[in-house]
Amino acid sequence: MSKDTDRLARAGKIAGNLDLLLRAERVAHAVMKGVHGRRRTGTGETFWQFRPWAPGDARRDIDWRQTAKRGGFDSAVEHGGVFIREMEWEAAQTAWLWRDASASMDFGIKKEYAETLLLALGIVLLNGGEQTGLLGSGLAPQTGVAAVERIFAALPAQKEMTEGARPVAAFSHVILIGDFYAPLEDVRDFCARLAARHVTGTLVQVFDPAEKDLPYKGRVRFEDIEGIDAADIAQVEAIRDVYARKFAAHQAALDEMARRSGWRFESFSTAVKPETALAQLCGVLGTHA
Amino acid sequence: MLEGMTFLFPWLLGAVAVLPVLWWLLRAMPPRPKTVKFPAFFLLKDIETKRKTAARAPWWLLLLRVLAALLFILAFAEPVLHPAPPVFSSTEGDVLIAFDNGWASASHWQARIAKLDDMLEQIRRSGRPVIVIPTAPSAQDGHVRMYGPMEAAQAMKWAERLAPQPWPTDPAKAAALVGKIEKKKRPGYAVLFSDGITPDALDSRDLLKNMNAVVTDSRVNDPVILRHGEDARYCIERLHAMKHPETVTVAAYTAGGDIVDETRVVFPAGDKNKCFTWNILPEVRNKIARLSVSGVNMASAVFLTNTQWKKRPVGIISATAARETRDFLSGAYYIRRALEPEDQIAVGSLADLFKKREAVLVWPDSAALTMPEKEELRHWVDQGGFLIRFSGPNLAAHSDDDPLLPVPLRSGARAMQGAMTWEKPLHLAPILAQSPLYGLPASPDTTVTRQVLADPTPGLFAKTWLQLADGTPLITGSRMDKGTLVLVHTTAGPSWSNFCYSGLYVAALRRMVDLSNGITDYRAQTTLPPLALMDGFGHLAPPDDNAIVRHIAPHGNFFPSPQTPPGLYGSALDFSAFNLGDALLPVQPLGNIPASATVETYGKTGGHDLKTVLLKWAVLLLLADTLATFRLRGLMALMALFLAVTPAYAAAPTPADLVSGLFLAYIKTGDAAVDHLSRDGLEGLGEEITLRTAAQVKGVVGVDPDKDNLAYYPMIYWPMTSAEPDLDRRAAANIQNYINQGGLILFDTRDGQFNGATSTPGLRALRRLTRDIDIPALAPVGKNDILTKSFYLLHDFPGQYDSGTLWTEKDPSPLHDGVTSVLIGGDDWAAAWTEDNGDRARYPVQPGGEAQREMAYRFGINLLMVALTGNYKADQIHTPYILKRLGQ
Repeated sequence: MSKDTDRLARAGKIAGNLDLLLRAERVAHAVMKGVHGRRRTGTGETFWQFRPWAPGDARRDIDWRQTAKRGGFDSAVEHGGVFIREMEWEAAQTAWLWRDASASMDFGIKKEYAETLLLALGIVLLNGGEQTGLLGSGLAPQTGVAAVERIFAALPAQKEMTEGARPVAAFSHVILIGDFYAPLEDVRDFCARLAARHVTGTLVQVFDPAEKDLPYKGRVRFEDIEGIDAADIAQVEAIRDVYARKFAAHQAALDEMARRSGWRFESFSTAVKPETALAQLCGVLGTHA
Repeated sequence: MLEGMTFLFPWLLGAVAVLPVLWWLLRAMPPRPKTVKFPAFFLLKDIETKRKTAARAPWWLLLLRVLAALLFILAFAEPVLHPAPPVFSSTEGDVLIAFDNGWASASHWQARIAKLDDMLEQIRRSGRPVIVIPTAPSAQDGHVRMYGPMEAAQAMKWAERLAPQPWPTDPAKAAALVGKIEKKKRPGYAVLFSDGITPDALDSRDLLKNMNAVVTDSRVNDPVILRHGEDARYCIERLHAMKHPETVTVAAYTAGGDIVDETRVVFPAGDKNKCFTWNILPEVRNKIARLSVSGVNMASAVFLTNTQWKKRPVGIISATAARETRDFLSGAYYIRRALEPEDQIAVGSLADLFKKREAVLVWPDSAALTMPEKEELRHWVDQGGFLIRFSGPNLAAHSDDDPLLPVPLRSGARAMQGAMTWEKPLHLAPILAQSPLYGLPASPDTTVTRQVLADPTPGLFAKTWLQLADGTPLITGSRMDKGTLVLVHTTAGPSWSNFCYSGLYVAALRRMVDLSNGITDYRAQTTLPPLALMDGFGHLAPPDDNAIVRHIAPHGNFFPSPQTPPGLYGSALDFSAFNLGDALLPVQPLGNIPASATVETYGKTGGHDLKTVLLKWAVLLLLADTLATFRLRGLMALMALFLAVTPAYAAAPTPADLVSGLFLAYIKTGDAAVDHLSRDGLEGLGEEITLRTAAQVKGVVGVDPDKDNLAYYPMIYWPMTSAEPDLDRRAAANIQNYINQGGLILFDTRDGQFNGATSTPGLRALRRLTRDIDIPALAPVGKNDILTKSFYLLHDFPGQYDSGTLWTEKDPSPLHDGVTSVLIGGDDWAAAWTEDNGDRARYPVQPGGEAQREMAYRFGINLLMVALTGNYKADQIHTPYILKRLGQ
């Protein structure tokens, strides 16, 4: 009996998790429809564009078929209307993903949101041919779209903000998703250490709308997440403005810190649709890569 | 109003002094604030708040709590409003209680006992002994007895065994007993608990003059008497005239306690009597063991039936049915007239009558039977049939070799007052005591001019049931194996005698029909032993061994008494009922209460206890306080959550819900049990439909045709019950509109167990309710009806019963694609569809068991499919032909 209920509970958990993966996939696909490669000439395998021949182009790059169709030696076009076939730029980069698993994320849908975002990002990156790894989980960077399931499976293993057994190689990209309510110094040290190795990165802050707006009224007793410290606020309305300023200041400090390492800082409320957040992130990553 | 209030524990009121302290304490302790675990706490930590002082509890919350505390203090001080006047502490001596416990006291017996307990409690407080006299003769010895003097506490115990008796009180004996006590030692206080009736004004006056107080109350003293008059006439009699018209239900029960029929009688305002005619269907009538007025637990409101009460179907053998019964000269006409009011009569050829399985056959001489037919009839009698044969010219001519004669006959007929005789027509002799006809009224005017004569054999006298003045038999009877054969030695009609005009003719024929069941001996039983006796509440129970109950003489006058209580007497196969209601004289209300006696009611006198009321309010205040605290702490969401999980079906679906999905509907009849069954049945069916088909039933709705829009429902189930009031014009128009628009109504008369009877309660209700509705011409559902193949392939459509006939529109309107709007049957489908919470069936299905229940579900599914898809499946039948044609 208890075995059965155990199994049932496990099945339910797995189903719940799969739900997360499915949601991430949906989010990713919604975004990928709009992303078309790197939009840059390179040595990839995907066709990018035809362009008229120019001096210096290798002869083997001429697309003779296209030249026969569009150009022709009798035409008045410069260089005899010869066309060069250009392929898209593709260079596999390694991206490392991390999400905050601390207790402070268990507020509203923050944790779920962060994980959705991480997995969706993973799907987009893998789809784009990037090597993608899960920071601090012991999982080697993966390629191929199917790898997202391995990342998904390794997700519970990832906890602290450390490099773990597999250090981040130079010229990789690190994406950290969390609320960053920890002391600023810890994050700064981590980022600086990586930045020194020419690792670029993005800090993605996920916060609950309540954490920004403080929508409570009257007398409220606030406790910290471990329940150690508490503050009795007699009139929450009275401190709302002060709090909003402090919150904005914290975000500004994070942004400043990231910029100093050459990193980026992005911040999303959980009220924002994850699709929107992902699209924005992809834009940022695109310019970065 | 407070002037009549006293406290049992006034010192507790001192606790009120603590209330200010409580106020101060509560004020110092504010309610706990709402707590939030906040991840961004580190940002909040350092914010200085201007108001650091802890908030106080709001004043109204304080008031609420202090008020609750005050109410608790008041409640435990036990305030009593208008306490009883302390009668028993002012006078000395015993308290005498005369308690009417005759048949009439069964009306609101609980109120009487409550009042008695109440008074005994007061007497107990005053510490005086008490004497109790139940005024009805005791069931143990038939005497009015006195109990006591005893302690009030002991009397309270004794009163637990007190019960109303199903016979009248004896005020004269009670008065004598009171007189005896007076002589010995005058009691300090005497009180009569009256049942409100007076059998004899003189007797009751003797009893009343000794009383200090009389407890009587027209609300409690409201006896009901059900009397059975002639034939189907019944009368209900009450003690007081009603101020407003009142509807009384009289129900008919089987021996097993099931209601098989009921009728509603409106008791008019200002009347004490109401007589009504109640024609019960003969098939049902045979099953009835008792009739009783619903809601009245009194022996006088119960009418028990006896074995003779059962009707037996009678067949009259006739060659030419149509002519015989209309001809004044034919015997069949007179037989029919004699028996028709009571019994079910069929006229036909012998073969037809055998098919109908009659209990009694009457054979007038005019019907000539062939020898094989006579042999067949003889066989029928041997098997237990009862044959009444009349004489006539046919018998007189062919009496020699006839096998169907109780006594040997001389050939030919004896004629008196003929052209060639000088004999005068003969009168009847008094009926002999040994005759089964003994006790019937004499008929001095009857004369017989012709008869067939019995051979004077030795056994003739024993077989003679009725004689002429000269000793020749007019009616003879004899047992033939298990059955009985009776011969009337003259004609059934007027040609040989004027016997057929007499009352005796009717009475004798009826007596003979009564005899047709189970009577083993012609000799009338002299006395009948008690079989089952009624108690004061009208319940039957077997008699005690040591009871003083006597055997009772049949056909005698019946007086209910401890020796002869009402009930059933005789043997289990053949018993007579002696009913209290029929034996009672008309009741008179108790009058001339002496001025010296105070009149009390059966209401409580012990003061009005305010404790529970105060406690209730205190608890309510505490509840309000909890709610308010929840609100202050922001836990209202929790409450909302709690409210949200309470079942949602309590709310009726809105029209928006109704159009969003498929709902099954039933007509609310106003009979809670029937409505509940309909709902459960449709829910069970809906579950099956959702499980088995693509149709998803969202819910079940009870509709009132008077108010609700029926257009939302593809089909409506309408169980027929006599409880449903007539439809008014609007409701009828609504239903008519539903039918005209192509809706589907399944009328369920719920009478499948009577299989084909023509006047069941369900059919009567159907006729009554559809009076203003234009129901199209009907025909039984045919073999190729769409209903047989809309989902499942079905041959019949059983429900709880399987009576087999389901009626549909004969020619469904082409406007509705030839789909019927009306289905009428009686198999109580809802009962078959009902499931309990564990998905188990709740009602047994007869006779087919679970297989039949499955068929009932299939019928329900087919029905819904017809309602939803119309004749779609009928088109499908042509598919093979269409495919064939397409192939070519």
